[in-house]
Amino acid sequence: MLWLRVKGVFNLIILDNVTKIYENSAVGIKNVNLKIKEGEFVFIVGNTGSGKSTMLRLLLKEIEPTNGTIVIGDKNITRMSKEKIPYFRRQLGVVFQDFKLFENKTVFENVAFAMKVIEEPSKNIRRTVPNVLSTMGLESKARCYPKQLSGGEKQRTAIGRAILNHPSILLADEPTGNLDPKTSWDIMKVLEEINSNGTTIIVVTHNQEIVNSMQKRVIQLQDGRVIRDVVKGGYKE
Amino acid sequence: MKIASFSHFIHEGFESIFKNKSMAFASIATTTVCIFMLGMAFLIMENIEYNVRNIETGINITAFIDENLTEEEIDTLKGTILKSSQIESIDYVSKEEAIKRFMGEGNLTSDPELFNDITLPASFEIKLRNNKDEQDVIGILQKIEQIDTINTPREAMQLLISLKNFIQATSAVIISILVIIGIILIGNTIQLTVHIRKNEIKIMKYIGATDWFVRWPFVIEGLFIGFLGTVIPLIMLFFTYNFFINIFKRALSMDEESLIDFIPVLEIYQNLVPVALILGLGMGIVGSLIIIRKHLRA
Repeated sequence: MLWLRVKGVFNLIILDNVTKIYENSAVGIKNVNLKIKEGEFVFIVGNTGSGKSTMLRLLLKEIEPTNGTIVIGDKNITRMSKEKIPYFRRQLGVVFQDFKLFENKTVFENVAFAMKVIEEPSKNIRRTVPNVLSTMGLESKARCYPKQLSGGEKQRTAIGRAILNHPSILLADEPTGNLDPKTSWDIMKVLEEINSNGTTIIVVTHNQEIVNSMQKRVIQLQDGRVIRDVVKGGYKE
Repeated sequence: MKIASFSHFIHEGFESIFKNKSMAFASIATTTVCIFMLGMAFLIMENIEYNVRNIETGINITAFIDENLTEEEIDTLKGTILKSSQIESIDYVSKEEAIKRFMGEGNLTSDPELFNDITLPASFEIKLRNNKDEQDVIGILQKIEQIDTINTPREAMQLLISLKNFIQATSAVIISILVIIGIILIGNTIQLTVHIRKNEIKIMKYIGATDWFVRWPFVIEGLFIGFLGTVIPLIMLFFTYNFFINIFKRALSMDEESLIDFIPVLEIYQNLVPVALILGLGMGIVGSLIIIRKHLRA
């Protein structure tokens, strides 16, 4: 099938009637239908237990849906074999609230690890990583270890690692959760810049101020269901 | 696997060993004991088998003859025995020759008095075409009046074979227990590393690492433990074996003609080294793979 891949036209992520019920019968998400276009910037908001994390875990193929279909790009990931998951994940970038950096590796090594994992030659790693560090404003911190960095620097390192392999989608789980307001804004600017280069960004957040100010697409979840999906909106109706 | 990744795996594997020195030491020590036991049992069993083979292919039956027979009578008797188609060859051993063999060549020539006091009967050393015919030939020999006693090395061989079976069975049990302990200890060492690196493994999986990319450093850690646990006992056994065969040879005044002999260390190591390496490295690989498999599933 020939896909029309024009920014803002191609549906990069499709959730078709997706339900996830955990083994203890807790509902993660229920009958969720969603389409996210390539190049979109989407906030997923909602209270604790509303299903935000479940949705991210489903997109990462960390868990399987109980019902429904998830299509990312041109791949139905619900039917994907275990062996193909690592290769699928290479198309995604992930950023976490707690940064998830390797404490025993320098900033350079942490970022470079994303290329090591896909077994890129060292020559390519040495050429590419400095460019990403420069984009993230971390050139002077290349030899520092995570414990020597501020929260914002740690998150920029994590973002650098996430975007190193040019993923089509960047998933961010509470990326500003551990940061002060000013640093949070810096991080959101970085994400906006990445989005302007064509990467689809999905941010799970509780940060009302940022969602209200940025006026991007907002998907609100409650008890596992989508209760609001607006193209440009704030944290609450 | 690409070269760049290989160096990464080696680096990560060795780093883990140095971080968990005490556990790695315990694993290496257990593997060392296990391989040492295996090696010792192997050396003993190979030597017993070697000697049993030598005895089997050597003289089959010794028939001691009446000491009053004349040379002519001995020749006639020899001819009579040789008529049996089951016999390949027959050699006459005189009393003097028997004494010389018993005492060892040249050992007592300086003491002729002692030499005169010892008497051994003359005998025929009979070699069979087929070992299965031993009982038939003994039956024939027993009917000959001039033959006093008939000896076969069967009893000595049976003793050696029983000894070999005992060592084989005992060492199989001990080695099996040690292999299990070794695998558990290597597994525990790897588990400690896996626990320390649990978050790293999770991050690796998030950013698209394949299961083998995660596994390799742990496999290399297990392999290195297995390798050291094999090389150390092999070196120890090399010198121990040489030391003991020299002691035995001196104590038993053994020479090239002795009935019992030892396999040279270099010859026996051609078989022992591959067996020990397979077991040692196998323990390392199995220990690491079992543990990492459990974590990758989770």
